[in-house]
This record gives sequence, structure tokens and C-alpha cells, in this order.
Amino acid sequence: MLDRIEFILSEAIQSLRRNRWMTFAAISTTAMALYLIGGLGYAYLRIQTYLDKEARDFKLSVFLKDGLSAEDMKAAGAKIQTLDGVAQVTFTSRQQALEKMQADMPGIELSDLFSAAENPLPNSYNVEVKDISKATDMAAAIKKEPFVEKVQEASDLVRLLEELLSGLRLLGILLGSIMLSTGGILIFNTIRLTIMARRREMRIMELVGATRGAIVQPLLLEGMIQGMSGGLLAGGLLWLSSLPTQAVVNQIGASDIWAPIELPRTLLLLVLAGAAYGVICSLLAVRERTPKPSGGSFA
Amino acid sequence: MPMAGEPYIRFDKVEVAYSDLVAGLRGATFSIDRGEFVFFVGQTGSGKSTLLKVISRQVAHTSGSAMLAGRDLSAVTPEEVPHLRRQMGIVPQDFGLLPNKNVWENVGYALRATGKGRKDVRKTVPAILERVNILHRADAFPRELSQGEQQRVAIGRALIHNPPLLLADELTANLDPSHTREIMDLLLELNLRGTTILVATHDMAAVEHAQQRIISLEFGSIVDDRKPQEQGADA
Repeated sequence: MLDRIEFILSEAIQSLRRNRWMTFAAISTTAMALYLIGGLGYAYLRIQTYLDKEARDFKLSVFLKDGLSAEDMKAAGAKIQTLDGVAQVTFTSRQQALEKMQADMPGIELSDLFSAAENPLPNSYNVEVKDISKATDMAAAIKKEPFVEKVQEASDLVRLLEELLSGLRLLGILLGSIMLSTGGILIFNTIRLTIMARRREMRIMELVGATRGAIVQPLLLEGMIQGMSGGLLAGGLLWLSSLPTQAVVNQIGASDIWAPIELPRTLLLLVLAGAAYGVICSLLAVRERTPKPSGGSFA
Repeated sequence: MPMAGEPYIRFDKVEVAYSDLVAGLRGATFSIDRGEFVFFVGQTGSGKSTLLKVISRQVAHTSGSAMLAGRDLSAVTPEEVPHLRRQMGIVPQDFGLLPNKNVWENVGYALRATGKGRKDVRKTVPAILERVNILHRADAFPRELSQGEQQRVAIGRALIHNPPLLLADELTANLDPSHTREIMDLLLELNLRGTTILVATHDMAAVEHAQQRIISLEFGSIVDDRKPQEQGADA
């Protein structure tokens, strides 16, 4: 068994050395593709995690018009509850709002400013949303209702992050697919070149009765090594570029959005992704180029 | 396994059509017993190489029946082809030696490719090289060998599985007369040890030197089949 592995490995390594420049091109392009996808994917995940947390904490505040009867206010709450994307609706009376304000500002005695009868705060509903990305649409829908005085919408930061997220998604798909296709074509071509360069060996292997597996395994291993090397390189680059990013993030005070990259986990993920990718590209090349055992040439 | 008295190789009206217009074999019928030495002779395109390819399952025949050691060759699946080829040795016309490997490595590579370990290689290679009388050049690269020596290495590599059958296509096409005789003597020696040998050739000097059975082909059909004693009678 060890003998077999050693033979397959030595065949693959010999071939990688023989096609040095093509191997270099395939590894570097795969690394760039995985770097872009990994980097953009990480940024996407971080922002998504932050937005999920924001969404959990986020509530739309719907301030009701003055002079509504208790029945009208109850009907307003029921109406809001029926809107698409609403998770929960909680009523806050003017008195409760005042008490909360007082609790939030213990240094100021609100009763010195105005009496309970002069309470300027409106009755309101706190609306919990299921999907923060629909909050703006929901706010617009609620605003149209006759009982509504004002709706406090999502913060500017959340809106900015939402836009960034959709941009990242698009950029990731676009750049990632371009780089992945280029890397894939290069690995595919490297394996095809290998097959061309090793035509003689493969023919001999067929004539002496080597199985198709024995002929193909070194080629698959070669693709896997290329993909893994690309993944390793991408992981290293990602970690290196995360250091200045982290410094900038700390400087602008957005450290609750960004977290440092975990190097071992990132490397493992990218190496595994690279290996799978390399094997797939090699399989495609092998399927296209290697003759079936019964189809070899005699002379 | 073939039944007692059944020929080792039996072709019955075997046809090979490469396309609607090009035929490799047209109704080839013959039988060969175990331990025979047979030349297939004929001009280029007469079908002699195709015939060997049918036996080694590099080409599938389109009709008729081709049997090897009691096994119908048309029933051999692609997965079984490597196993079939380990029952025979194949010597290609161009020797097929790997230029970046020396004599030892060329034979060792074939063994490794078929799953043998380093230990087996160390044990088997010298014996094979000794058998084809090339052990003294074990460290030489193909470019450093004469044509006859290269052919010896190719024959040696074909013997790695100690096969009962050896197929050789245009074995002596590139050799001078002295090397031709040398290779023919080697094949005769292998044949004396029991190996069935089939050689496709148009080199009549090699055929005359060996004095063995000759099957002649023309345009894919067998036109003559002479045993050695019949050749002597004709002469």
C-alpha cells in the first residue's frame, strides 16, 4: 500500500516539476480566486452576522397621533400586526414612555420640566421585524396609515451595511466566478499538458496491463496538489491582508462588526476547497483526454 | 480455461471494420496451439497488426468469433482488459522505451505501474534483464543503446508478468540483419521455454531465419497458412 502511494506521489511530483511554469500559473490563479472568494465571503459573513444581531435588537417605533381613543389605538395595533414581516407588536403608553425616559436619564428630573398631564411623549407601538432588510418598506407602509404621526426607521448605519452587503454579494459572484473559471481552465490545461507529456508512459502502462485507476490517480493527485497549494497561498494572503484591515476597523471604531481571521480554520477551509476544486478540474481533463483501456494504440 | 484439445487461439470468420469503407480484417479464420511460434506476414495494410490488436483487445472485432484460452474476446469488458493484458506480453514496433529512464527503470516502471512494490521490482528486474541478455546495460539510457539492445529491453518489459503469450508488431523493422537474427534467436529461446509467440512482420529475412509457421494476409484476408515442414517441402 505504501509502495503504491509512493509511486503515485512520485509520478505526480515528477509531472508538476516537468510543467513548472504551468503549475505556477495554475496555483497562483487558484490562489487569487480563493483569496477573493475567501476575503469577500468573510466580509459578507461578518456584516451578515452584525446585521442579524441588529435585526434581533431592532424595533420600529410607530408614534400614534394625539386624540385617538383606546379602541382606535387597539385597532391600530391589530392593523400593524397584520403587515408582512412583522414579528411582534408591543404597545407603549405615553406614561410608560415618560417613565422609561426618566429611567434612561436619571440625572434629570423630568417632573421639573413638565407635569404628567403635560407629558409631550406620544402613545406608540414598538414593532419587531422578522427581516431587517424589509424594515424600510414596512415603515413606508405603516406611514400611510391615518393613525400614524411618525415612524422611526432603521439607522443610517444599518442602511449602509445593507447596501454594502448586496454590493459584496454581487462583487463576490462576479470576481469569484471570473477567477475560479480562470484557475479552473489553467488546472484543466496543466493536466491536459501532463497527459500529452506523459502519453508515452500512459501507453506503456496500458500495454503492460495497468488499470485505469493506476493511470489516472497520479493526474488527480497532481490537480489536488495544485488546488491545495492555491488554497494554502490564499489563506496566507488573507491572513496577511486582514492585519491592516483590522487596524483600520479598530481605528474607525467598528470592531463589533469585524473580528480577526482565525488562521488555522481559514487555512483548513481554503486548502480543502482548493483540493476539491483541483480534483474536479483534473477529473474533467482526464475524462476528456485519456483513452479507455481498450482503445490504446499498438504501434 | 480451454478444454483439452481446444486451440489456444481460435479465430472464426473474424471481421474488423474501421469504417464503412475501411476493413482491418475480412473473415479471418485460423487456430493456434499453445507453444506455437507464428509469423503473420503481408504488406502494410494487410491486417496483420489489426489481428494482434484483436487478441490484445485494443480493437474490438465487429463480427465472427475470437477466442483466447477458451475465452470469447468480445465478452471482455473494458474493466477486464488490464487483467487480460497481464496474460500476454506486448512489444510495440517503436520499442516504446521511456527516454528519461534507464534500462532498469524502464522495466521497473512497468512493474510499478501494475502494482508491484519496490521489493518485487528489485527481485524481478535483474532476472528479466538476464533472461533477455541485457543486464550488463542496466544503467544505460535508451539513447545509449543499439537498436537491438533497445528491442531486448522492450521484450524484457513485455515479459514482466511471465506471460504465456508474446505479441510483437514489426519487431525487426528497424534492425539490421545481425540484430534481426539476434532478436529472432531470443524469441526462439523464449518459445522453446513454452511461450506462444505471434509476430506481425514484413521482414522475410527474419521469417526465413526462424523457420516457423507463417500465416499470410492480403487485404484483411488470410491467403496462406504454412507449417515449418511444409515450407521445407516447398523449398
